[in-house]
Amino acid sequence: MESLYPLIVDVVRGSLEDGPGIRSVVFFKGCPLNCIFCHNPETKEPQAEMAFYSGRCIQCGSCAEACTESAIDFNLPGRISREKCVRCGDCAIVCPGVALRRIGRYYPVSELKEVLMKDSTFYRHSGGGVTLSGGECTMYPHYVESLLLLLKAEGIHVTLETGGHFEYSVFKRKILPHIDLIYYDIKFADREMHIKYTGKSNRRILDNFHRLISEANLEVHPRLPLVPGITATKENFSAVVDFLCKAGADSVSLLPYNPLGLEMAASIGKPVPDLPKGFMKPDEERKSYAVFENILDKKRDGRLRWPAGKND
Amino acid sequence: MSQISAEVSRDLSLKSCELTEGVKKLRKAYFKAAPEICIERAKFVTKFSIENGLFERERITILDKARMYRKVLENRVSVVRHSAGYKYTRDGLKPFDIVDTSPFAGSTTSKFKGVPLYPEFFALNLWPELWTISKRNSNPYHIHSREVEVLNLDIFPHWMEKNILELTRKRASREDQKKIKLVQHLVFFLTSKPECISHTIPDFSKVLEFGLQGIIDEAEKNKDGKSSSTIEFYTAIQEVLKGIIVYSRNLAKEAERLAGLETEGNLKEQLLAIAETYRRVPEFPAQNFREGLTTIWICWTAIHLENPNIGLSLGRLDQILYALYQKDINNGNLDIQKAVDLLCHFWLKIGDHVPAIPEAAEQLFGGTGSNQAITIGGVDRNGTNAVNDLTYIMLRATELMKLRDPNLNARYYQVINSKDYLKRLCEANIVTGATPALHNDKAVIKALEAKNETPKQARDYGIIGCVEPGSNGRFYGHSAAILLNLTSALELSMFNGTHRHTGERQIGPETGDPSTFNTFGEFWNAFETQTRWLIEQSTALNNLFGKTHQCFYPTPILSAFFEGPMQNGKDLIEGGAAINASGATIIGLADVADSLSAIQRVVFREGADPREKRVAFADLIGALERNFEGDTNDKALRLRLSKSEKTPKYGNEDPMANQNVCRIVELLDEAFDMINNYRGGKYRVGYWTMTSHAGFGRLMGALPNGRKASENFSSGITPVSGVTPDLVKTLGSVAFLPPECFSNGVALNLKFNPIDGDDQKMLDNLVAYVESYFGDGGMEIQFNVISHDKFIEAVNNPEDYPDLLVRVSGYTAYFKDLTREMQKEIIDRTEYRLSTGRASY
Amino acid sequence: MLRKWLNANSMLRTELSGVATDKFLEFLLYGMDSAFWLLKGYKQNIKNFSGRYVFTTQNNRVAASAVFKDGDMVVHEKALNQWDVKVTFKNAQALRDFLFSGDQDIVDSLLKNEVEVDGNLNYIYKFGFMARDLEHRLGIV
Ligand code: SF4
Ligand code: SF4
Repeated sequence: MESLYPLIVDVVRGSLEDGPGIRSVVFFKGCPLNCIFCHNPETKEPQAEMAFYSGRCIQCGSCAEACTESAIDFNLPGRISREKCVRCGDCAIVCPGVALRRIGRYYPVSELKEVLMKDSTFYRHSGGGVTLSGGECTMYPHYVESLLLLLKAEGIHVTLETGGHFEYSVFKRKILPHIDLIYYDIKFADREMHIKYTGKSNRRILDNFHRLISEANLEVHPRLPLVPGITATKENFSAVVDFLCKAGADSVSLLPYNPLGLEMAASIGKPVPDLPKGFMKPDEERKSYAVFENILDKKRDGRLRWPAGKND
Repeated sequence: MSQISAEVSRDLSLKSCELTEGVKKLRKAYFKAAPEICIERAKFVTKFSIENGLFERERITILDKARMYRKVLENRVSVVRHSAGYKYTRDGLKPFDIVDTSPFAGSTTSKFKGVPLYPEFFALNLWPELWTISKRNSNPYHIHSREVEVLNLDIFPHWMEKNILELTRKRASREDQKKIKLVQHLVFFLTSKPECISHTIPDFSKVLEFGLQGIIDEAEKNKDGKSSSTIEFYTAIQEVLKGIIVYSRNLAKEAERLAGLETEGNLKEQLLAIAETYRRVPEFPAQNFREGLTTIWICWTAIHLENPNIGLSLGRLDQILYALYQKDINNGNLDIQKAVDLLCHFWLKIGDHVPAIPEAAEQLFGGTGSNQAITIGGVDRNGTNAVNDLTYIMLRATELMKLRDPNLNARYYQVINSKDYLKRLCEANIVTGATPALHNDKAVIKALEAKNETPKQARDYGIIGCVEPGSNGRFYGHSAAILLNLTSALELSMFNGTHRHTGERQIGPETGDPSTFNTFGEFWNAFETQTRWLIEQSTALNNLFGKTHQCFYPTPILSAFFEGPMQNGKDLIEGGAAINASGATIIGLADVADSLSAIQRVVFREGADPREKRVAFADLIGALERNFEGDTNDKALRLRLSKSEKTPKYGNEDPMANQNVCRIVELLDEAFDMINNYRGGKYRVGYWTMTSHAGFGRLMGALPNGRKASENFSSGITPVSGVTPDLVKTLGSVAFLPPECFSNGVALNLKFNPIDGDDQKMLDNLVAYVESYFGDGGMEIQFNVISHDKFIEAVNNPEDYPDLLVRVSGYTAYFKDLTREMQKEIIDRTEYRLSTGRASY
Repeated sequence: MLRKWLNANSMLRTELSGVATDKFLEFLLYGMDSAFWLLKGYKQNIKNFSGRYVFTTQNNRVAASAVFKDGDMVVHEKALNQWDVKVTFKNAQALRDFLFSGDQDIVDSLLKNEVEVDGNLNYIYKFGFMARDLEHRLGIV
């Protein structure tokens, strides 16, 4: 399923949240999983997509004028008739209020590297670097390898964020040698749950994690994204901790629930899942953390640390 | 050789040093006190001028001036202890008692927090409000009714034909009178010459080493074989220095008298110690740290007797005082806590006066103190690390006192100065929320060398007023001579030499109707022509004022404390300083740059997507004249012009925007650099706006970058608020600009929302930002580290935040003193979260 | 400045409000003139003071002059040719605004570009003081 030409959703510069120090984060478009609670739904599809943000629209009508496919329909709440739209982006160009946006842009590797190198001084002085995120960048091993080789030649620290659903041998050959840190998302330990909420079995994900922990000599840091009532349950916590202990992980952290994906799903015309609309309240979050810690304490085999680092 | 003692290096923050009870009380009184108008100086100067016929003269000699100042120094009141001030109450200003135990006697004025008046310069503009000034809304000053009578009948009338503005106007040709009129329109430029001769750093090293008597002797020696006018110059120097010695002796006598009356043993001893110190210095060389500070202080009061209290700056005090400090520490006469205490008292003394600001001017420069900059750290003349114990001690004193004045500035030379030092500077900013401002030595030195200063001179820079660099004690640069509103140059080029504020009359040259232009190049040429024209007008006017200064305001006191005049026997105002220049600062850089980019993109369609609509120049003007408030088209156009996704904006590393900013700063540097000033120097240009970006903003109509009429401009060199979500891009864009064009300094204002509860992470991030920005060539950076909520609370409950310190653009001010517009400007500034590095909008 | 004074002098006020704009400046100056005679101490302001003021609007529709000399004030209902200072208001409304707004002073009017001053600005400052001094002596401040 690999495409040679990945699209990039965004390059976020100056992030303090995606690894150590000040970082530039590349969001790749395309993901093998289909998590219903995805907080970046615009990164799921590998193709370009159109987003409409109704709150920014001033009803000027320029978009309809520009669209050659008659795909702009002011009667639709999502504005764009998805059947007619060919995702050309003309409407976004003329929209004055940035209410329309074409998501997904191709960067030649050299150009992307140039963008990432703009902040090299910041990386150097903060102990930061580049983070590859998504979507799932491991879908594009050739492209990512070329990029990594260029970054490594400049001595840039690279962090990879992955959902773990990749072909191990390819990953090991093309990507692993050139990265410094992995954030590895584990959503469920139970296979049925995983299939239910992500559309795929987690076998590969868990196997890959196991192998990375035992074979690779870099920090692999597992993270569990909190989704109230779905991943953030006692049962799942317990099963995930069991798995991590067995795999020999030595640290873990929880990612707070992020509801911003819901709005985005609506903007790109995708069904909006029935999930909490707000962030977790501090006490809810604390409660989850306490439950998790409790489980961890009971099962601690002396290796798994908690909480792990402050990076998230 | 490290100049950091083991004791200081144990904890660079000097957390164990605290405010002593005495200074705590004084500090409290200081914050309580309203400024009081002091007429002492004005009275003496007027009386002397009448008695000696100076008002009838066509030219006043330096000896006349020196005799006058000597007389004032010898006769002014000796304030050893302040006993009362005036505080704000619901029923107006009311007196309150002060317990003064400061080791420093003497004062700039006769009041606790005085407003000295300089009728030679601008004081007459307070005339209309003398009766109401103690009741006005913004920053009231106390004044006694008998003082009002004296000013109205015995002082001001004598200066009606004789203050600088009028003397200059009378001497001006018809053409030049037009330039004065331009200033009166207020939207083009302001010149501060009518207000002062100031904005410079004196040299204190000589008086510390040899005492005033040493300088008097030197003057005597230098007279040998010189022309009579040069001999007169040296005699004048001797006159004023003798006056200062008498003033100090008078203080000693008064201290002794008070000691005689004092029954409490401790207090008696303090007074006797003052008497002893003031009998020795500044006449003789300072023997210890306290005497060093006393010397500087007394000379400082004398300098302010001569020169208005606007932007005179103290320079590199951690360098100048280090030897005395070291000596005291070595022989056990001083410890670090005591040094901190002395400096806290000294800081309070430095802030014992505020400039006289008429009510309307508050709108342009609200909340300003005297902007007395002090500089610490960096490298010395030879390029070696100059950070020493005193650097840290001064930081600690600043952190404890949280005063707007003095305005602390820290120099940082990457690699040569330690990273721990930078960390400490950032920490102080987090603690105080606003100070010190940070200066990148490498960039500043490059900028000064580009103006032909020798490496040694350039490395020895101190900060003047707000952020302007000048070689310590040898650079007479009057760095705030001209405030140029660059948006007026844009305005004149959009309207063929007319200005919406002044209506139909032709102001600037006719550069053509832009709707007939075919390329952006033509528009740029019009803008360039108007800019050059404004520069010519403003510098010519400044020179005109300078010439009046030369005829009527010789400066013997300042000349005595300067490298140059003593060597070549020439007054500072005549060009005696080792290095001469005049300074301009530019208002509206980012708004103009973004407006030019907008015109380039949407009117002339450079780099535009072919699918985007062209906007005809006339339509753009139409929208501006409707203030974007017409139909949906206006709204859509404004959105398109305001969004960084649609139109290039400075601060986002956009190539077109960057190029436009660069072109502008290069043009201004080149144009100013071509012009000679009246002292044989050139003009230097900088970008810091104090609060005038809010003031000028009020007067200007809508602009092509989407800014609506009357809104604030962006401050200093800072990109426009709200269009720069990524801090790293902002820093990168500013650092990209050539420091060689910034010889008069820049102010980059950043506002950070602190992270609750994680000071370490906050500090690490701040340090990384500064390191990177400086590493990429950025020149200056200053912060507000205060949360949005706290600002809002301070707007609503000013009385709860009397010492909330903020950075405007350049100096620091108390938030409560700012105008509504300026408070809004600060609140509206792009706020970056120190937790995520992203803007919070 | 003078608004409060006018409030206090309701008779004069009534008279003024009934006066065409063209005339009211003169009334104002006459008011000041009479104060020099009526108020003790106020005359100090013009002892030894000589100065010639012209107030006018851009279209010259309203014009008045005040001449101070030998402790005396003389009002002319036209613009004199010789003056120390000439104040030109954009229009009659600007002049009214200037004289009757609460916190007026000349710089504020300059800010709004409603007035232009030729000549010696210090005379305006002095005039401003005299106006407020009048309020002060009437105990209105
Ligand atoms: S992307 Fe193209 S086809 Fe789709 S709505 Fe916009 S203009 Fe029409
Ligand atoms: S062009 Fe943009 S702002 Fe205008 S109607 Fe379409 S979506 Fe709304």
